[in-house]
Amino acid sequence: MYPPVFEYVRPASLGEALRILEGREDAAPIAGGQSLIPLLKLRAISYGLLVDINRIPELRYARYGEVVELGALTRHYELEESPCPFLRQVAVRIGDVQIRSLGTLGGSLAHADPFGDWPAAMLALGAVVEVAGVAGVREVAIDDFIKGPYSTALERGELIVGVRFKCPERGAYVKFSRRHNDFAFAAVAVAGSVKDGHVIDVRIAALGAADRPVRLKKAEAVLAGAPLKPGVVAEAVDAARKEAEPPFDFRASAEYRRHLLGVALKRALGAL
Amino acid sequence: MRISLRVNGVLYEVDVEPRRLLVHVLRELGFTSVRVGCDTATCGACTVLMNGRPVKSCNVLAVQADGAEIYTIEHNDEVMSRLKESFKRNHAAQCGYCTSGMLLTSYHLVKRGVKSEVEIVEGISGVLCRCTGYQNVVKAVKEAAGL
Repeated sequence: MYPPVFEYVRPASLGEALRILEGREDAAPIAGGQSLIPLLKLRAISYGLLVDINRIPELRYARYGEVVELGALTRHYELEESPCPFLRQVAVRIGDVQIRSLGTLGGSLAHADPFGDWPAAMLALGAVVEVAGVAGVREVAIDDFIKGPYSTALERGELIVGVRFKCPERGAYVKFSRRHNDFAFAAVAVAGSVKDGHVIDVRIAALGAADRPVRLKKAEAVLAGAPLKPGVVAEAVDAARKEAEPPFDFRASAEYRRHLLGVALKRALGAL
Repeated sequence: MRISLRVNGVLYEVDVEPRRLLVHVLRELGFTSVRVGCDTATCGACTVLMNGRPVKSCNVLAVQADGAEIYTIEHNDEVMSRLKESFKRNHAAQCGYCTSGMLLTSYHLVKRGVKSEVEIVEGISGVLCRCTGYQNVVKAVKEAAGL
């Protein structure tokens, strides 16, 4: 089916895009469109104006230094070969090759699907999201950015410019889905550092543990400073299953998700 | 809006309404090998190569593709011909509806030097076949890739 009628503009700069978005209440940005276009076609949403941000150079960058900085227009497939191994693990589990050709990091964060892979990964990384509006640029910690299912800290007229984080010394992403290219039943992203068999610091984020991607802070607390041994891992798995409040839907029951979250965490910790 | 598309090396200029999808515009240009399958970005029957990457053309606005280089299965270079032959030899099609998508995702795999069966299976996972069960498709791609 066709999407409902809309106007279309393709600004060449960030400033121009922001001015257009600010000026029209019925406007929305489109990047890869891999979530937006299906929703438009289903007529689940509609906009009077689509602002195509695909050709804005300020949103397209990848810098790998002590800090990793990625522009909002970074396509999923580009991260399949990222110098940061954790990003590679996540990228290859997103959708399928066609979706990864077009879908973007910024789009995934702005859409904030409850089962979005990048929101979970960015939570585990403790990323900072750079957000631009006509008034200027502000930075939002990822923990404050994801507000709920399909809900973020983005105000009307704002765009994600990019994200910033440190590539973790150790990281793992374990995801369970019906098919390789489906959304997760449950997934766990772990990022941190380990020294002499002891966890120095760790952040754990999960999909399928709530109505949105969330940190598993009780499991993190079990692991902080502890030796990475079977007993400790079992305790962390236990804590994760206890703190999770999994949703149930056509993909999986809450109990199945609770079980899988533990398995995913155990495997992720084993892969650190 | 007036857009240009280079399809299999030939430049087309067309007027399109912004809400029109790439799949429809390509089919109206005569490229009916690009199928409308599920129309929900799931089945991959509408796959084309856009600037060298497989995309689901039912999930791309034609205006987004303005200026792009598009390949369909009529792009008959050496690799595509080899794949078609291999598909034929290995009976890698039954009803044929998914075959365009299979060929184009496989083309992308062979072009970038696919190294293993696992990579092939992952690479074609965005194209759903409801009759052959994939075994012969994987066999055909392996053969064409020299694995």
